[in-house]
Amino acid sequence: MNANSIFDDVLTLRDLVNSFFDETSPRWRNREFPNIVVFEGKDDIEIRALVPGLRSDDIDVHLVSDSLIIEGEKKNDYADKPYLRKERRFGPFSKSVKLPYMVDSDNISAEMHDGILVIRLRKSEKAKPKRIEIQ
Amino acid sequence: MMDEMVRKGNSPHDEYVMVPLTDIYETEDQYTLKLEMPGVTKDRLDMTMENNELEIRGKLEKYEPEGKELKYAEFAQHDFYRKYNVGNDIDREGIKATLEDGVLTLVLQKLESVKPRKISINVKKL
Repeated sequence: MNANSIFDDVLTLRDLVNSFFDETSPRWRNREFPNIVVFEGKDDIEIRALVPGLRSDDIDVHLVSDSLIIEGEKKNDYADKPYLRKERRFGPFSKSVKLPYMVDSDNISAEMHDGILVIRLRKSEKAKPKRIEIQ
Repeated sequence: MMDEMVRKGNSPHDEYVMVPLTDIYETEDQYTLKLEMPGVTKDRLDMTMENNELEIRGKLEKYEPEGKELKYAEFAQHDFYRKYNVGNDIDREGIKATLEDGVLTLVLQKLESVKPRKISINVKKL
């Protein structure tokens, strides 16, 4: 092997194609960050988002009527060095997640560990089924 | 994005894996790799260097909360896996790894013999 050929797969046609599209649509690219999964229980919801490299200071979570907004900025951690390969994305992001039912705005918890953001929400009393007494 | 992240075939076993997004930086005496592996902890990270191949695997503990149903998913819970071919210019013994907030940073030192050398030229006055 040639001594200079570290990371033989550094530049492929696929990379060239990808970088072309990535550079032309920064807004589109950030729309899908972060990727999430939603678990739904009878009275509670758990949302998990992939946020590698982010700290809790970098993220804001808030509730706007029946949507949960996750927004913030992913700061570049190595900006000043020349790179051979660049796949990670940085910059501001905002994501809205529509919730299946009204949640209690005073009962939201969010925590982060190992690059995963976990948000737990509880169903609002207003959204729970009510028994109606017959007079 | 999912299509790009989940790939089959790169792994030695016939399985689906997530390909960690990676940045690679080069300086005069080292290469730095930053791999995004959210959810992977230190004890679930495996790295081996064999025959010029650097293999990185981050195992994910499948998360299935009791009493809750998965309603929507933008990513699948597969292990992270990526393999790199490494040239002879890397010091096999001197690889440093740190894992922080789901980002694995690997620093690979270049061997002395391939670092750029400064050659001094003496100019004699005639």
